[in-house]
Amino acid sequence: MNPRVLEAEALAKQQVRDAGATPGDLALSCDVVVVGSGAGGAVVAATLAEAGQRVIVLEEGGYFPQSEAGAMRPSQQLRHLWRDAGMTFAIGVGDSPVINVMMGKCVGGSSALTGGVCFRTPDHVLQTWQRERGLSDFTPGHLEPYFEAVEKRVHVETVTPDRWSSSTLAFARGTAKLGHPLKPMRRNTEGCQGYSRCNFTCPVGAKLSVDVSFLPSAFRAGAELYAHCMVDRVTHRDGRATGVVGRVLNGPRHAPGGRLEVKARRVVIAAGAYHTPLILQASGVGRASEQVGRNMTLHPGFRVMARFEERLDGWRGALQGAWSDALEHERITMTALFLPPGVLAATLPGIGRAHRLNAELIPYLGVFGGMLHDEGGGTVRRGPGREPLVTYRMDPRDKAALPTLMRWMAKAWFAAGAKEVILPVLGMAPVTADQLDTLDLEHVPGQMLESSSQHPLGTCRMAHSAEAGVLDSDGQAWDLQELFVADGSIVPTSLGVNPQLTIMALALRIAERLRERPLPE
Amino acid sequence: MVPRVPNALVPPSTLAALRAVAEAVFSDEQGPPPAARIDWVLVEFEDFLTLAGSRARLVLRAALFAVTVLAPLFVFSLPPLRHLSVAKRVLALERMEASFASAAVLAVKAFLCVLYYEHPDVQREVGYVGRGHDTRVTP
Repeated sequence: MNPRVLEAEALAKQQVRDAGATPGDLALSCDVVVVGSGAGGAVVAATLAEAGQRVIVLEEGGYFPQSEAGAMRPSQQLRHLWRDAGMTFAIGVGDSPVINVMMGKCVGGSSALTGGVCFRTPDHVLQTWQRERGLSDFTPGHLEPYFEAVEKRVHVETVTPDRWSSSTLAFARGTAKLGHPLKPMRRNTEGCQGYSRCNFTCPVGAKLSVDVSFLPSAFRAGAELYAHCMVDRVTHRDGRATGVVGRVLNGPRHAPGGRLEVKARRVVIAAGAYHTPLILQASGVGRASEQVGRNMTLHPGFRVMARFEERLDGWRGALQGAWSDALEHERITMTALFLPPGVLAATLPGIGRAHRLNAELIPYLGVFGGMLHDEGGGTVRRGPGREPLVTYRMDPRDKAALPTLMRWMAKAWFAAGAKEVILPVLGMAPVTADQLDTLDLEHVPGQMLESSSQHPLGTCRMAHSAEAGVLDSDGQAWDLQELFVADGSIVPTSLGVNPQLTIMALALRIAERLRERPLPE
Repeated sequence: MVPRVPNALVPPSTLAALRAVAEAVFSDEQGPPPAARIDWVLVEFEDFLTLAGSRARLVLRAALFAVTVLAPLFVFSLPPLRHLSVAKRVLALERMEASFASAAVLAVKAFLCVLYYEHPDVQREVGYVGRGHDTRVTP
């Protein structure tokens, strides 16, 4: 086990408290309360605690040390660490698929469940932010020191081809033949041994997610984290945030129990693009702009799988070792991935004998993913119960790019020697190279597409005015002083690449500005 | 290993409905897989559903209900699905999987697969070397 993980676990033992273990109300006070312990919240907590501020972090999920979580089976991880046990969906509206949106609900948030992929915000995306959102500060040069600092802290390294999985190597052979060699991925890992289960916690602690990188710094500086605390809304007085209230999640099923109240001089919400807008809506924030919960982008992802005659054992090697921008002109980014056999089997067509025959092919399967740099079209609303109701209307331009995604990736697989390709269309049998050319992919209904997402963004976006966005360029709510947001919800547009590094860099920028700003009395 | 949570949220009828689907999905020429494996899946299912939260419980139960009621209609039989022979269940689910109602089948099948393929015997059969994680059965 990575010594950094063991050190993080020792610190967490002292500073993490399971609020849900004790019945009754919980009342606390501090300088800064941070709601959420993922990529945004952890960075803010560490930066402000290191500056001497009294920081309390509230996390809805539980704390699972990596040494414990890394030993869980994927389904155990789903039920303990993932929101809705991995069954969070964005409901497709119109000609759109239902999209499975995966999010963490644990200390470390989704950062603990990523493949570790680290892209900086592309320059052309920053130009869009400047041009369309009026965020003139956001130049590559301005953000450079934040990216550098975060990359150093989480140990971003390049995955060399010798660590690529056999599935990735096979796809690389195909893309090279099409004239587009794969590019090595950058990831926040240290000592990766190629267990290919980053999404389900690295068994040797090689992934330096924020629970290993940033939160230990916060704990060392005195920050406290309370797990199983669900925040409902921000309290405020005279136009200024004064804390948060919610419920402690008690008992083995984490049902809402005692009242939670934290009084703070400053509030930072980092509950993610699904839940931050709910907290803001419940607090009456952003009503003027009517932008809270809107503008959600997802990077809808589509797996294209291939069957080879030789065994690939695609689960050996780095999970996400390479990527391709060969279809950037179509606003598509392709990244390596692999899935546990149960998840792979679930995506294979067939019942009974047909299913079994397909499942026997799992060791012979290669998997690669393509995701859309989408136009958006998602909305988060308060739903019945504790979870939001989320809808997503796929933009026709995004839908129109999907046949290109499927055909190009299928051709790459066939160029690599695949015998059949399995496209992300529900109920569609595997296709051969000859059959591919005859498929009418342009007219597949959106509802028949199989899609997933790990990147909900933009539901409380920053913008130059209160009419155009929910937050100013420092992440502060336009209509409530001392309320800040630092998570994926602030990202002004779709990125087209995995967002965790962008979220961490933006959070660091916000935190460093907060550090210099006097705390209110 | 994470201890199981005592549970009273999964009624026997839900377990029976899931067993009927599992027997069909994982059957082959010899019939359904060993009963002990399905039992294992059902134990895991109970634990999963108990911890998964109300939204996930609702989604799974709705999908299972849809499959139980709708699938028999695809082979011109009356529900529930569990009253059909395994062979007829396979045919019904195949037809439903290729229909407008495929999402419900996919949801239940996906959930079953995630659990079933974690069984150590099944992993051995598939040839998966599940390095780095605990393959012990939840007690």
